Amino acid sequence: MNRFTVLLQKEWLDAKRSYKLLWLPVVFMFLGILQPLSSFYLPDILKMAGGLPDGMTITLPELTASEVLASALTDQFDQLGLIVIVMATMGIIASDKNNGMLAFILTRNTTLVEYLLSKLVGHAVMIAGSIFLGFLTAVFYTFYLYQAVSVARIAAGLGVYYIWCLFMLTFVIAIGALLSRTPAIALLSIFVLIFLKTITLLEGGFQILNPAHLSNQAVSIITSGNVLPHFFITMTVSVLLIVFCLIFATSYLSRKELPSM
Amino acid sequence: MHYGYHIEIDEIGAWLPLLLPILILHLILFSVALVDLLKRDQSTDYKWLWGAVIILVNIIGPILYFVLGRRQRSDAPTSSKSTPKKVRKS
Repeated sequence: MNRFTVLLQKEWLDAKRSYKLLWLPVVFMFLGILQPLSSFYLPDILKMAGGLPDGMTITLPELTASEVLASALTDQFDQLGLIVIVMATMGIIASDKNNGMLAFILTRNTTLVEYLLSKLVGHAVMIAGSIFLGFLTAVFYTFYLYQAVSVARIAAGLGVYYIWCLFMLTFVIAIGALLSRTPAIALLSIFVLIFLKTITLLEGGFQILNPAHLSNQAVSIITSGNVLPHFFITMTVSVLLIVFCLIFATSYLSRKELPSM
Repeated sequence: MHYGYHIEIDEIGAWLPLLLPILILHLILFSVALVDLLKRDQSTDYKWLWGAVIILVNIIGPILYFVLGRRQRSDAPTSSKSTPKKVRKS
């Protein structure tokens, strides 16, 4: 376990040096601020930006506080936030591969599993912190501009949402093990993750196997306090997919990376 | 973000507490990115280009710099500088 903590310390140092520790939370805090503020001030913003043409009226829906929070999750965190998470994690394996760090680490007596786990845990903690801080600002703004929402619901929704984020992370790690060019990794993972997210709009039975459906579950938990049907199946499938991605990354790297280097 | 043209000065006062966190966060990102850019050993062209991006592109600019601009050193596989440095670090 000692080697694992050393690897974790290396991750921590790397995150500090690349300022990831700074900008990842800040981006999510921006995203968290943006949604309550823009949905609260949308009428004012429309009016000040020149107003609507004469005779044109639109009715803006009256949003409740929990709906605003839920839309912060789906509109901001699931789109820009997803891209930001992928951009933050796209290089974590590929850059080590390219500059020889991976081969260097593996010639010491560490195992590949320890290496991948340190990557996963380090970034999972960082993403958890960022999402928590970002959502905390969203919650503060919503409480200030609208009214309070039950904190237990928010915590539960965020916890469910975090599983989907973990899936994003492990997916990027698996793709990163597979490919070695960071733009390709970013493009492929963003494409697949956004595709998964988009097909949750289609109602259908296959949704229960889709990890992206967890964000809809989180929205439902925050807005109504109830989960959508088949919650536990989706949860189990997502956890299994996470484990599968990790096993895939480990086996691919151990077969592919070591002999060639 | 765009707040329109007909804004009164007292309206800004009412909005300020809400906008202040955005300003502070932006300032932090902005200054850290600029300081880091100035400290690095890169060509002047490179610094001017990324400096312009950091200053002119709101919010996204510093983040783009952190993600893409700092990549040069650690990601280039053919660069002779990166390999000995990495090995020495660990």
